[in-house]
Amino acid sequence: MTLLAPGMLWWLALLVPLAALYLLKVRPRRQHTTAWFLWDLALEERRSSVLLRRLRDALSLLLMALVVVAVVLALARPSFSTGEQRDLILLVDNSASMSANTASGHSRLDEARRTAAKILRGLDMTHRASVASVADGVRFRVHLSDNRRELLEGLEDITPTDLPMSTDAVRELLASGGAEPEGAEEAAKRPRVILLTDGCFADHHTLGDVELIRIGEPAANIGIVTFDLFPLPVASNGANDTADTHRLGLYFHLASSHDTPVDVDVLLCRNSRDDVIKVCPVTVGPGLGQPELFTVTGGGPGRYVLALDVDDALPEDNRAFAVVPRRRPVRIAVRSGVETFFLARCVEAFGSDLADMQLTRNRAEVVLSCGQDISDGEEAPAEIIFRPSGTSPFWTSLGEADASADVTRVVLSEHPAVRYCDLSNVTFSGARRIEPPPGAVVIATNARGVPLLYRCSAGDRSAYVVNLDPVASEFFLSAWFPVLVHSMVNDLTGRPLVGRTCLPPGTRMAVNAAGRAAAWTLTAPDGSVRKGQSTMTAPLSQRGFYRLHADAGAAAGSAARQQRSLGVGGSPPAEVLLNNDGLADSAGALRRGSTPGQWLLIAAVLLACVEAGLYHRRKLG
Amino acid sequence: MLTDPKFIQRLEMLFLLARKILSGSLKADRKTRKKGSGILFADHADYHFGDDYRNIDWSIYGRLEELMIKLFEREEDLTVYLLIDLSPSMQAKRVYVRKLAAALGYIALSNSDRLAMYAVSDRLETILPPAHGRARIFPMLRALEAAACRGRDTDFSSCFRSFQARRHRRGVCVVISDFFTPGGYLDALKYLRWTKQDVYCLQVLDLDELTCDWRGDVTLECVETGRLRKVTIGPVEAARYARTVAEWNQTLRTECARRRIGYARATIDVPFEDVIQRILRRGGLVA
Repeated sequence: MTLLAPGMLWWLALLVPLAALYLLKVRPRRQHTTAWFLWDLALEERRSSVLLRRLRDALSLLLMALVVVAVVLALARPSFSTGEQRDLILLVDNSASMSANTASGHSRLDEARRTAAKILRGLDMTHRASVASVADGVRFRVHLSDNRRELLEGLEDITPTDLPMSTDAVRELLASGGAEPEGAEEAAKRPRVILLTDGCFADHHTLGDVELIRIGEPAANIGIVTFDLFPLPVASNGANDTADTHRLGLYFHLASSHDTPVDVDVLLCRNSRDDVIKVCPVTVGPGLGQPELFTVTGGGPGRYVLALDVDDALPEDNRAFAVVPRRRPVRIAVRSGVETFFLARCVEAFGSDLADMQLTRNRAEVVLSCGQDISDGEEAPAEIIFRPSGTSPFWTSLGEADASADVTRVVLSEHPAVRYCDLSNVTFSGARRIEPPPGAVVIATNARGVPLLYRCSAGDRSAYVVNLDPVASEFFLSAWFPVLVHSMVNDLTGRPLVGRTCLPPGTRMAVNAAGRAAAWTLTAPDGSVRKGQSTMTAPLSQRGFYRLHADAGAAAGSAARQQRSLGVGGSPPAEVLLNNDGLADSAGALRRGSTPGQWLLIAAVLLACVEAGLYHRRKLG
Repeated sequence: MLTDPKFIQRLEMLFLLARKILSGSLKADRKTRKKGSGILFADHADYHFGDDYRNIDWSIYGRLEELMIKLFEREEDLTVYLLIDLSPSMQAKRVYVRKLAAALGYIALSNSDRLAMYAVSDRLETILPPAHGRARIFPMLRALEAAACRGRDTDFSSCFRSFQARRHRRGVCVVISDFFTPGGYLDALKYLRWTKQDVYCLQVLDLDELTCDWRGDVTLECVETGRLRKVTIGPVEAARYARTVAEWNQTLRTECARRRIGYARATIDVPFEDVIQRILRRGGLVA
């Protein structure tokens, strides 16, 4: 045993004044009696306890001395540990599956916190510890500290989330703590990373040096993996039935950890569970089931809740939320020569069934032009220019055609304009040497760096410049032509490119304000509000309905302002199945529970209680 | 204080009450078993030479022709002896005991009885020598007032033997004490009874002596001997003490009843007039 604070032993000197004080204190008060012999008679039967009474005073002094010794020893922090002493990082998994109830009635997260608290209480605090939660990322609640109370409070701050577990976050943490240690000495300095998790993620065996403590047992559960609602095209027979014009496609995907198929009623509700608009009885087999597809009539824009009518271990994943937005067709004007036909047909293709675009001649939001000087007609807030020619605020100089424009280099492959378009299959014939204006976002160039596709702004107006001759490159005949046009129109008008109505937890929404950072306000389902200024919002971490308000400022034009609702739901299959059979504890030796100092304090309290009894007997009989 | 006019007025009221209750039987005409020259006929006896022939019952001689003489009950005045415990254990009850003794003495002297007062402790000391008549009331009160606690212990046996050694005539012996005597009181009382005295025990107690309110560690000190003892008093010990005191008092009461000794108990919170009235209503000091 070693004493971590031996200087505290000086407090043992308190024994001397204690003994002096005690000897003075125990002198009893004197009472005169006229019936001495009666007292003799009354106490005659108690003579056997006279010896005990005489010893009692000494016993009281001894007890108090033991109390002092125990307290002083506890302050001196005795330690029996002989093993390695390293800093400790406690990672508590607070992903969605940790909300599952266990057989004891508590959630897995509660069990994880209890286990972590035992570990913290067992630390002798010769080294520091830190507490962090981990789901889609690692969030430190308390950084390395030797303050046990602070650590325990940090532990209590960990709350359940709806986010899936990401092992990448843990690996990033390991990487930030230093790469592979070069020697034993350096390895001894690295903190131990202990992850308390239910193991409901696929690659826990890849976590390397992370010591795992398994929480919870497999449990029977059914949950929603994916949910989506999408507007179906209007029937082409010209029916004017309102219900038919508001048809929605319902798609969901369930997973079950039951051993046998389970019949479940899936309820599609509008706004809340009280307004059921469709009941879908399905049979869910073990594991990840088959995707289900239904048609919902009388739908239309609005908020929807998909709910499973089942009682299982994880109720949170029995609901998913979706928002079907109200889409207004974008007013598009076409200014071109012979290419007008192709451009108009492209607009009409999105306008006939999907009502996504509308061809117009005036008050257009977007102008599609091909080799035309846009100053000829009415100015629009946005422009998509094919085959640039002449002068324009959207380029500073325009040169001759670049003969070797055969190799396309996509600079920003994840840009909203090209995310769903494979530019490598597009031949940029007729591309000219062009100089974009300052601030332009170049998305693709050729081998010599000539911009082939870029986005730029001039004043309040934005534009995409597609540096090719669509006729020469036969781009009008390419399948990517309408895709690219549609993506660029959506991006210029600030509309989401793909309307997934139910977003998985952890999704970050692009603010999409002309490629600039925008001020956004995100109101979570629990009413909490987060604000920021960036191109992406904070992750949508809760299941439910969010409200997003983004504003890029007056300079970005009306397209930069958006206010919309977002639905969040669904979980990865591993989070739903709650199966952690494959996870085994890999944590090294850890002392859990009370330290020797705490036991000494408990002993001191017990001794003090005994002495209190003796004191009571001494003073009150 | 005992000679205070108000106190004497209270004693006078007490005496008047006593006369009323006992209907004048407190006059010094106490009957005895002795045959003598009284006026109440007691018996007949054969005539012997030397008898007073004035007592010959001639009516019997006329019928039976035998000389018989008439015997009469002899009448004598009563002697009241107040044996007052003035040992150190009576210190807290001293004032109360003096008042009781003063009341009894006042009634006795006012009733033309002989009164003598003695202090009892480890030895017998005279407070008031045998006195008679109302003129001795004030000396009696002054002597009582001057009487202080004395001695180191209570020894009834030696005191009573000393009392009897003074060859006192028979009378009523009123013993005023707490009767907390480690050596016992029974032999002493039996001795008094053996000497043909009418004995009356008046036990005076302090309320604090009946129960124990102390708790915890206490050093007991005997007020008479100065002995010390460390004890721890809890509810059990306090209850046992109260039970012991009650048994002691009950034993005293039982023994007194068995030996035809009058007994009364008083605590110092009760006015002394009430105690005297209670005694009188029971028929006086005679058991």
